[in-house]
Amino acid sequence: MSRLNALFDGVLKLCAGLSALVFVLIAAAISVNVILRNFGSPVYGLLDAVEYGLLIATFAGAPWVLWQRGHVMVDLITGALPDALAHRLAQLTALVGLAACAVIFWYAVEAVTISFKRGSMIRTAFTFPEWWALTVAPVGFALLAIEFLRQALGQRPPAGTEDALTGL
Amino acid sequence: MDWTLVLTLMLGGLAVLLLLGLPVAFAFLAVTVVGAFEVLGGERGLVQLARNSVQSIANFQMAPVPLFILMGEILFQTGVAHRAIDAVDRVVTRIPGRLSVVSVFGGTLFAALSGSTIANTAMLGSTLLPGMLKKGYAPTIAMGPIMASGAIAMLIPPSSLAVLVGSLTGISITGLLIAGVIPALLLSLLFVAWIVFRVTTSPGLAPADHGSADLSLKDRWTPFMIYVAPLSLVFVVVIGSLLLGIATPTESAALGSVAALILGAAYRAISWEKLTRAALETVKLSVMILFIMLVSQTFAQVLSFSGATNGVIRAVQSFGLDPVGVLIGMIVVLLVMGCFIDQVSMLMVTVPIFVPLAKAAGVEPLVLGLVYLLTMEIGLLTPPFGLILFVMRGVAPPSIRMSTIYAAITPFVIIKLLVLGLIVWQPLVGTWLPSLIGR
Repeated sequence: MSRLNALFDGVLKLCAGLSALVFVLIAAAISVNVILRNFGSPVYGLLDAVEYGLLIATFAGAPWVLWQRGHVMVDLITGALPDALAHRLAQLTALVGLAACAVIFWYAVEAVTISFKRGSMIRTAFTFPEWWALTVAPVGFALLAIEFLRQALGQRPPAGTEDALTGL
Repeated sequence: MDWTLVLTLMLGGLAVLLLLGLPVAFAFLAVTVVGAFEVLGGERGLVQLARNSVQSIANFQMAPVPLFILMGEILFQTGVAHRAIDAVDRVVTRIPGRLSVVSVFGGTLFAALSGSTIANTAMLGSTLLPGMLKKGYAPTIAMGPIMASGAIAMLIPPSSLAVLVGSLTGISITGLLIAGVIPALLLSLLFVAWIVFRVTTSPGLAPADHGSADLSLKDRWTPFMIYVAPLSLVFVVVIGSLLLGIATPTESAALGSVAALILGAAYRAISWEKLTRAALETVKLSVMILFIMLVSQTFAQVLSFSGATNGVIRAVQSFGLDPVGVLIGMIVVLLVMGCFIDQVSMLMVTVPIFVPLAKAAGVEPLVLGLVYLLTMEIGLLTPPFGLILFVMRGVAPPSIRMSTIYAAITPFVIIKLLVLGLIVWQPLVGTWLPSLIGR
């Protein structure tokens, strides 16, 4: 079990790295494009590529952020509870998260299947089957569901995530 | 189902899940799953939700969100921003409540480098507060300006929340980014005026402190020229390009990240480790925001299809309110929400109803956007649960009570409310600068 856990941690870290890489590439590509645009030859299809980049980065990053307890939450009640009780409550709410992600996962697979059967195509700067883009959602929701399952089973947050002062 | 019932169940369910501590993104996801099944036609509604989630994120308008965050993170992780504080400290001399004024100037400066009110407050608090308390500044006059000016980051570009407000409400993002600048500067001026007034009338609040007045002019200004003046490269790139109308918000944000990187390199403050940390923090904040956005479209559809959106609009119209009346009503709702929930949730819940309502009542879009930004900013500062109050709690010495923090922020919240009132009364305060874009 602990090996499976470590393996999944690794997968989440890899996804976070992918997400970080995509954001940095978007910044670089758009900056280069500003220069090229002024010389009259902007990068072909950059706008569309950036949109798919945002899609991939968000779904790849979300499970890692959930693991790192980085998703914003309201701790009016949980912050005031004794630690043991707060942990129990967190397990319970993780079950709600698991249920929501599992349902969406199921219907996201359905959406992919329907699009595949219809042979729908995306025709922007690039032309490709629509189900390629749609597939990002079920993969993301599956990882999120697994992470919620780990939290529902009582796994504590990784070290160093408790008192981080980050946010908008 | 009757729209009042749908609205009550959606918002009630959301409130319960949020209070139980489910992360905001998943609380919205859970109620939207139920709402989509009930209102958008059972399983078809859920397939629609899955498809919408992809469409909402694969949206070019959202691109400035991670890029502005990346830019701020680079400047913070490389410590470029921290060094500027010392330099500002040296040039502000002979003013009553000197260090409180330094924190307002520092906070406003950082607001133009980073969109994070939390990071801004945490940094000002950790660098300035210990020294202020040791020198004998009263805790209220030390903490109030730090929290108040930390929150200004939401109004000045790079502000990710301004991008979010623009993208969700359909208000021009460039216009909204620029519209916040004058109200933000006005706030800073009023903060300084208030500090000077308070310290002059009750000299016990702050010690007589001339700062570096005894140093030669050269010694005082050299650090400023080295550590603060080059930061204007970032303002020129980000705000200048928007104002001249030569860059889209996404381009201005991307160029801002590059400018931040160049500055970091010029100060020899770049390392692989710092850049990795900046990139990972960017993932954490950006994904947190973008993931909430993924249900925004469906959440709004559910409210609209259930008749809740039109129902609320008709109910409000039956009062026969003018634009100012409608705006004041919205402000009251947003201020009350801001006392209890986070900024993105405030947006998600109210935008589907407030935007059509504002259109029906003839409210100027930029004014609505500014009302959103200012009320969200005030929400960070209002007891009992304003996030920045807790950031201050985290960096202040343990002897300081929460009630002192509440007392410290109160006059500054009142100043912010006055400026909000001014914008409603005289919209030109906000709309004048955007009207110059691209001229």
